[in-house]
Amino acid sequence: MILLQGATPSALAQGGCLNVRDSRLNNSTALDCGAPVVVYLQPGNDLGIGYLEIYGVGGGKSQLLISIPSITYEIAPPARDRTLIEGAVIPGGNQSVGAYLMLDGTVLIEAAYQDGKPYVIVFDPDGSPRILYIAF
Amino acid sequence: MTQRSALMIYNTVDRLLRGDLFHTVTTADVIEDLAAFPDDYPIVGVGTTSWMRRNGEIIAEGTARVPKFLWADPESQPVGQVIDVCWQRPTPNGQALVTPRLDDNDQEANFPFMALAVCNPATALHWQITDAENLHEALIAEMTARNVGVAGVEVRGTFGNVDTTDAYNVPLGGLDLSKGYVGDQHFRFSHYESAEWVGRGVFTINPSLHPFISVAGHPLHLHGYRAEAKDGGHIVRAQVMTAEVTVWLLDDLILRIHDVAHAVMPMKAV
Repeated sequence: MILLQGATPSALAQGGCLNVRDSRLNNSTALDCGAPVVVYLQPGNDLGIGYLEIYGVGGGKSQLLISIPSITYEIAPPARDRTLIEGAVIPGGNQSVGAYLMLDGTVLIEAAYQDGKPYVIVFDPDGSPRILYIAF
Repeated sequence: MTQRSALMIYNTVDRLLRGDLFHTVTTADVIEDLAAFPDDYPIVGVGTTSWMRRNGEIIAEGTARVPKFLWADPESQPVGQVIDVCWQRPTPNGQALVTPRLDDNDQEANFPFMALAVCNPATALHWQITDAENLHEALIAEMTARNVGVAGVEVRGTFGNVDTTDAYNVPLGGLDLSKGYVGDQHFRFSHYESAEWVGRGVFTINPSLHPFISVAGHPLHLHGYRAEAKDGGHIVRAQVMTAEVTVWLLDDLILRIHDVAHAVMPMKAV
């Protein structure tokens, strides 16, 4: 697996959407218009702790499912790859979302559309925080 | 029509273990490729499917004209019941059939990895194995002694203790097998005692080719099933009481990866 930044609409698809332009991290108009989860990064508080927030989208509403304090991925890497941070069920269906801490310090977010097709992205906290997309 | 035999490799184990369940081929794609070979060429091989949380193990056999893609179901009871996904449907019990690609037919088997030896009968080598504690070691030692480079392998005989795995959850985020086949989040483990077995697989002695068909340091990838019970999977280790071995030397190695035009696979727009 390699990770790529979101492709532009012209590179991957025609059209696009406006709903991704609300400061969410997964904001590719080519890849995220129908995303079952929306990811925001809340800035650090007085203690310098920010939060990676994952909202589930389904049944016509969105709901905060997982909130990960930044110290989770800023401390030393986990002892094993793919350490589950937290899991939840996306509203409006029976699909789940899981956030995993990877050995390289990234957070793998595995979710699924209502029909079970996977939606997988990676949060990279290094430098300017961003979402990466898996490619092979 | 070519007379040359070949190891057809669709995608690679290395890419599969990195989570690539996207660059798939269908049975129809493979059968179309097999049409380039003489009808009577035997085929043997290994693979898996992109059915999420139900990947299973593919055991390829038959001939270029009439191939069989046996699939050991990780969700069956007992684990590893074998059906031919060319014409049989997985039981509706267990995990629903879902593939990660938006444009794949979820109901048919799509293969994110398959290594298929299309063998010239004239190149067949035969020998027997008797009282071997480790089937893989016995096969590798003999093939190395015979200067075999790339080959298809078939083993039939009476095995003692056999350990198998059936992959059921190859995660899109990748899978680390550096410590071997461990982790019940990804594999179903089975143990069998004395029975008649059929094993089929592929062999590449050159380390640079290991990641194509297996993992580093493992030149032999072997799947198999119990001849009577029709269950099995990926053979991790096997004791052999007595077995007949057929090894077909292969002329060419052909690597095919379908649908590489786009880096990131399409996601849903709405």
